[in-house]
Amino acid sequence: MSNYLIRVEHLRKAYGDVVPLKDVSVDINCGDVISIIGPSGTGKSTFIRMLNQMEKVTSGKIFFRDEDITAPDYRLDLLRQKVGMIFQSFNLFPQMTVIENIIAAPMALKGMDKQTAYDKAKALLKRVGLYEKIFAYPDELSGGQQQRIAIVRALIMEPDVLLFDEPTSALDPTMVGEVEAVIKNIAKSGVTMLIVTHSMEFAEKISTRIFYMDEGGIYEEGKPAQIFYNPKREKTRQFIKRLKVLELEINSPHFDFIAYANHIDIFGVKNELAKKLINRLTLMFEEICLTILLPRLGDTVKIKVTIEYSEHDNSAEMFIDYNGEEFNIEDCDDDVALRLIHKNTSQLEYRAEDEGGFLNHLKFTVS
Amino acid sequence: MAMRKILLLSLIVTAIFIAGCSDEHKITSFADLQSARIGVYPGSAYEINAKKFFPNAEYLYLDSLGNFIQSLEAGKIDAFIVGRSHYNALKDRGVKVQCLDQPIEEVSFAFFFQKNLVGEHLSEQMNRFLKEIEKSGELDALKQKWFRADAEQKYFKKSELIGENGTLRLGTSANAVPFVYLERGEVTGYEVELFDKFCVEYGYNYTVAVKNFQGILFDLKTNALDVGVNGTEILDSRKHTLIFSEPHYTDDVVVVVRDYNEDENFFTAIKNKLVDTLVEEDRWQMILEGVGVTILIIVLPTIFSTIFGFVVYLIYRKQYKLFNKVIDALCTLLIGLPTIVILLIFYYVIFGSVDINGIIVVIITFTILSGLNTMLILKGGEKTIPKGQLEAAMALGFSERQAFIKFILPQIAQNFFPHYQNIVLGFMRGTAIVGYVSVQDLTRMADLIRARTFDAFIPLLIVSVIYFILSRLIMKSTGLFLKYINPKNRNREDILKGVKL
Repeated sequence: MSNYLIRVEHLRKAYGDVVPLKDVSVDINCGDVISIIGPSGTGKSTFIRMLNQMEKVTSGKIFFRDEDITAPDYRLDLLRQKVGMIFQSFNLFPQMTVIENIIAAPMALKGMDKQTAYDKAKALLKRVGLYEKIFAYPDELSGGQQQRIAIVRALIMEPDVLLFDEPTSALDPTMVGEVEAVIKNIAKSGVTMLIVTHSMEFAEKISTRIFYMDEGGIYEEGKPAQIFYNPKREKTRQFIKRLKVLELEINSPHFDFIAYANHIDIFGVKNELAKKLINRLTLMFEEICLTILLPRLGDTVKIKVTIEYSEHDNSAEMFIDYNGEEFNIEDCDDDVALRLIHKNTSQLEYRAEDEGGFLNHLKFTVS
Repeated sequence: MAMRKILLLSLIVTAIFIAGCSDEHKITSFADLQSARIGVYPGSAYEINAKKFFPNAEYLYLDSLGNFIQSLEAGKIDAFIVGRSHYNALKDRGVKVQCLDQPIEEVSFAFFFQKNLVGEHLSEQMNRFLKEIEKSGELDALKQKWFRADAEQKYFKKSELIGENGTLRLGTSANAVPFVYLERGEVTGYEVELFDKFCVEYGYNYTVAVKNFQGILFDLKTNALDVGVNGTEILDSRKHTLIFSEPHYTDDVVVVVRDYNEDENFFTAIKNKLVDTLVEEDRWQMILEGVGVTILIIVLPTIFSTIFGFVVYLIYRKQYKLFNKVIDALCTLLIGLPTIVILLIFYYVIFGSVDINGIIVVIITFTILSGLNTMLILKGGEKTIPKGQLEAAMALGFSERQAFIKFILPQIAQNFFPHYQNIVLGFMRGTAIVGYVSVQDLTRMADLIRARTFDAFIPLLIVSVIYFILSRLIMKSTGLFLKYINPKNRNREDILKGVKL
């Protein structure tokens, strides 16, 4: 007997040509509290929905305590009694009172008598602070209250693992806290949990492991401290720092400058950059690429401009990689341009190194 | 509240009635008729004769004496052309009409039979019988009784018949006074008594079915009837499809116009008509019977179609290919057809060769129609339930089937039943057409009374009021039903019955 609870092997999910999950292999151990983060459309929800087989796998295997749950004859109803799920939209049954929502499954599926079911429900409801609502109907409750009831409805089945599919995304911001508090409380009691979430602070606080999902799989995984403060991989870093990235490439001296300047503008407006910052970014692009580099490089011009904007500190980093001979722009003789560049940038760094197809690499901060 | 509505309703109907009586075009001679609007029975000897004499007149086709009178009173026609016997019957009933002195032609009346060996045999027997009683003077006595004497003597009771030679099926529309008509719910008249005597003589028993004329012709063709009587004139054109007996009566064709001297107080007229419609011959019993039938064909199909609709829907969800294709095809087919056409198809085609009560056909037809409608509403209703509901139940460990039955179906039903008031009200309105398949519902009873009293206003008013009351009852009872099935109206203490809190 190995010590994993769930083992995922070469999991793949495809919807026609779209392949959100290409090849995922991972072990989930008893007591793990795993937050799954990542940009939208990277298969986070699909991944946990496959763990209780609400989604079928395209290929690959999932083992739950040594049993292959992807086997065609596997009793999914029994699996799901052991794997609780909490949905983004709560999904309480509107025609039933709170207490009926909670006791329906244990009574029908586990043969629990009404009194026992009620006593257990009562204890759980008290734990989430909603005992007084047992006779309420879902539409009489706030979103936060509904989600807490949904959690109780899953907990009363005494599941081995709980799957949370963006449990707070549909909530009014004022109600996120109460639901997160309940989840944190359960996490402490040692239940294995997987939580798809957009709230990094929350993920950091409650998790023992973080999965960062991107590029069709678990792109990087680690302890919260590692993922949030020392991510090993580029996309994780960009995501954690909430970087917004714009890349522009110039491959001809006759490139459409107006269109490129417009790209910067749209990028700025979309990400709510200050007007001044947008203007400065455009100015730097113009001075460095148009005024200094383009005349030097002529027909063979190849420039890559990357702008990374960080929501954290409201500043943008600009990377300019270009070809040609080794050349630091500070050596050029255009004093006016240089003065403008120095005035609008900080931490200007230049290095010459053959990397990514470019010899020259320039990096600076605009704020 | 309801009282006030009824009052308002009757005021409106009265206004329509008064508005209907207008526009006069006096007819005093044949010459006036050349440019007049004339009412005739379609395809009758009267029509053929009238067109021969007044080729330039405008013709309106009406199918009962009652309709002639009402059209004449409403000024829709200036005259109508019928037999003198019809006219005399109208005068007997005190209807304000007069006829032009000069008859335009003569017509003969006869029984008619299936055009086959049985029909030939029966018509021969009938001809022999007619000849005998003409010789014995019995026929003249009968004519005297039904065409000339006063109302009290026009009484007939079916003889005790053993039917050693079988039972004949007689079809009639019972709307041709005094040949054949309804009195106290019984079919009576000259032709009926004549036929009764024939049966006594030749050892038959007989049954009577009341249908419209087209229905009689159809049933003769399909061997569902043996003989037709309806004050029917012998027509060459009809001889292609029917066998006529020798004529048993010959009559003048006369032109009937309004009695321009009439002068009756409006309220006295209403009162007389009211008495005529309800009290005379205990006609209120017919209305009551009609109400009973109408309620029956509302309530039973409502219950059956609900069950039928849910069952079909549940099977439909299983996605059996053939079953779903059949149901889809039926839905597409039936939804585009008028209910009356579907009803006629069921009655004459599908159940045409089966001896089956019209009420049963109506119940089956409405059950199927409304059941399919219910199925469609349920199918549409399923789409309004969020996908998450099924997922949530399945994520708890319920199988898809359990999840559907326990959590989804109650929600679909909850969404469906508010349509109920409309469905049942629709039924009620729809039932008024069942007269076409010989079911004597409320509307049909009003028609029959209309044919007898030659007054449309009072029967229609009474029927409207009854339908109005029925619709109120339906609204109230379906409202209570909705309240009852709404889980939110449950007593909260009952939810946790037997549990120590």
